[in-house]
Amino acid sequence: MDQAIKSIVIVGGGTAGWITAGTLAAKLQNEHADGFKITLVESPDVKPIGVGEGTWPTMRRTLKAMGIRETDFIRECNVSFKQGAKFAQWVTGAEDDFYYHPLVLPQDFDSTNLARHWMAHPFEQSFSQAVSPQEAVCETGLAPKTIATAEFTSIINYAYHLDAGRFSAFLQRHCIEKLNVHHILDNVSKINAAENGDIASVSTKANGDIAGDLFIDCTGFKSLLLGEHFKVRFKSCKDVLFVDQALAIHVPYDTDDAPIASHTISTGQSAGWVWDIGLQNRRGVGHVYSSAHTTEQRASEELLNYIAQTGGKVNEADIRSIGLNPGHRETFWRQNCVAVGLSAGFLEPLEASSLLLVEISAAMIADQFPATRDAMDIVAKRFNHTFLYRWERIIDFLKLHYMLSKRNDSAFWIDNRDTTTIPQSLQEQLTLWQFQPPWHNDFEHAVEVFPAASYQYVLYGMGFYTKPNELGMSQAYQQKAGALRQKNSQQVQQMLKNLPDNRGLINKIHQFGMQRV
Amino acid sequence: MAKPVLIDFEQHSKTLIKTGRGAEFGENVHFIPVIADEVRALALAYPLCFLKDNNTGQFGLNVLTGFEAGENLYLQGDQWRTHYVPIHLRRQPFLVGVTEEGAKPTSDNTVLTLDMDSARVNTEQGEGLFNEHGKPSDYLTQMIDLLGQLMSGNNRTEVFIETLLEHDLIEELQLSITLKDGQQKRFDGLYNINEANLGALSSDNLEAFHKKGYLQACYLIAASTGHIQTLVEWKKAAQ
Repeated sequence: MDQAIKSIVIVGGGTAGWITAGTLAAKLQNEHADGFKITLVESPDVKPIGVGEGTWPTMRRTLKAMGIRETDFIRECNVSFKQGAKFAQWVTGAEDDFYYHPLVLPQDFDSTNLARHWMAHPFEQSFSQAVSPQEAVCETGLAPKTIATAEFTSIINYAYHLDAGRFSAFLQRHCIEKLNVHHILDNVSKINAAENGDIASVSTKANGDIAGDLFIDCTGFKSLLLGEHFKVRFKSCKDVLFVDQALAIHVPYDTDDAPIASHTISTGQSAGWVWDIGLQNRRGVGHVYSSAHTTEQRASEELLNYIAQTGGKVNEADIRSIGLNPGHRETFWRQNCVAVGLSAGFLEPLEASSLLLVEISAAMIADQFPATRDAMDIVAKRFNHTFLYRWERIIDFLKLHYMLSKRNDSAFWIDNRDTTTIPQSLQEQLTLWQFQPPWHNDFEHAVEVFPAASYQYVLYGMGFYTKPNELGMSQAYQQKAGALRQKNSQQVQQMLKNLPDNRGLINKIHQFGMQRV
Repeated sequence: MAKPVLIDFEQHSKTLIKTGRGAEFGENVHFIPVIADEVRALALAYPLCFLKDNNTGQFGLNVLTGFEAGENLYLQGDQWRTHYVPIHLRRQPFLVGVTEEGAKPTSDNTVLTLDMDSARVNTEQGEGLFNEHGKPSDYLTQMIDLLGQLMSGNNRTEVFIETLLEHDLIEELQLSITLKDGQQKRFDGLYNINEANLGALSSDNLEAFHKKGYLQACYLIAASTGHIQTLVEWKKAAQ
């Protein structure tokens, strides 16, 4: 059919629905005169999941493309700056056991692989300390830029911690007021099929049938369109990543002026791990765990223990329990319907991949936006192929954190190292990496979700041993690497001197705003 | 550190103010804040630019007078190289004190103060503040007037800059200069008028800008960048 694709219906709000709406609206507005229509229909009764508060640096581009001011975003969504993740008690479980996965590439990563140089003397400094200044900046609680830095630009690379609820509402306002997205607050009662099996329209309680050429399923775990209507099967990955339950709570700060952490903190527990995200006026803390390895009672105790140890005071009754199903749909785009967000799948938030997947899904739909129904079939095929690859690589990368742990204080950690739970693709990479450090061409695609650098940070942060090459290191390489490590130390000094603390910067942003230039 | 005090006949009957130019008065600075009202006079001799305040990120209007801290290429000993001297220098050692903490300065909540720590303040030479009857001298009257201009000028300049930002008319300048020894130096943090966006203003905005005098100010500020070349020549000559 060469029917043109003009009308897009997004079913479901939340961060998935509104990021998709905003990304598509901005792109289409920029490229096409008019003639397209974006409608978002969301239920007034179904609440969004309400967690999911860590992003990747890509979010800066995503927001900027929608015409959003970073000043407004920070002021209205309880936002703080995130510069990476600190993994505590993942390797040995000792009190001082931690490593960083920062957001900055190792020095000169385009052409120099510093891993070999570092491995010659691995006890001088941790890997991430040696190759990037970001660990020092995070440990000191500093911000990634100053009040004089233009919006969305950085002195050192950063992403965000945000309040999921406020963020959805903020995006909703922006999409409706500035991007001409049509909003319908109503419940979808029925999905109406066209002759060829496409979705022709969705019926609503009070707003009639909403017809569309392309439907985007942002209905969360329910997966109303892709999962329920099209019956696309869900492929669980619980055999690889065991975590299937979450307990979440908000933890207030002691004072209004409490310091804000520069990074996400992930702390290993007996059968899972606790996330700790510091926003402006509260922390978001949660325990994700495997119900096969511990009970909700025990998990709750560990969570409360963590909160008490980190100086927080909460009401036990406020803990929310959320069931998780790790895995994803077998395909994501069926006929004229594509799933974005939790409707497509879910993985534990170990590397804040959920919002990233929303962003890159929306971006691909926008970039490859099919002009006609025939074109859509081809785009759909590519989308499925690309995203199957992406989900698999994310699963590999998350599993890496578990398989490298040396903890044997509980079955959870020991079971995670069982080779039957480790994907073949990951096992193969690790075999290679025993002999040579991860490098650019280890990965198939030109654009990877996790670049080689991320693998280096986790491998060497967790004490993985790559055998030194018997060919040794050339003079030229040693000199270059030495100079880069010197440069790194200098950058650390400069940044510690010039960067403000997070709370100070956030206060100034509220008071003065940030410049666009 | 500034030590502003209120001025009265009793305390300051013998006080004299040195009114010359010189590094001893803290004039060896590489940029000077200015007000929009001065643009026409300044544009003839200085490169105008916008700079951000490091503490607040807010833009201010300035003239560039050198390329590094402590370098003022307009100051030669006790002589000033051009005819017009920015008000910010001429009004020293006086400052406007605001009587309400944190309030915006207006003619109602401000007083004139004298910075007693300034090297200009002495009892041997210069201009007096009061005549024998205890009335403000001509000099002091001029200074009061100058500070009034400066204060209302600051407010007007703030509004001017806000308007420029609203219309995307400020952009970062890519400045790099080549010195005598062939050394290339790059400067970040200098901003000037985005002439492309200025040229694309709608007719309504154009008219509003013209009526407020903004249009003229924008073109003068943009054109004044040419003076940077003069500064480079002065610097090379001094090396």
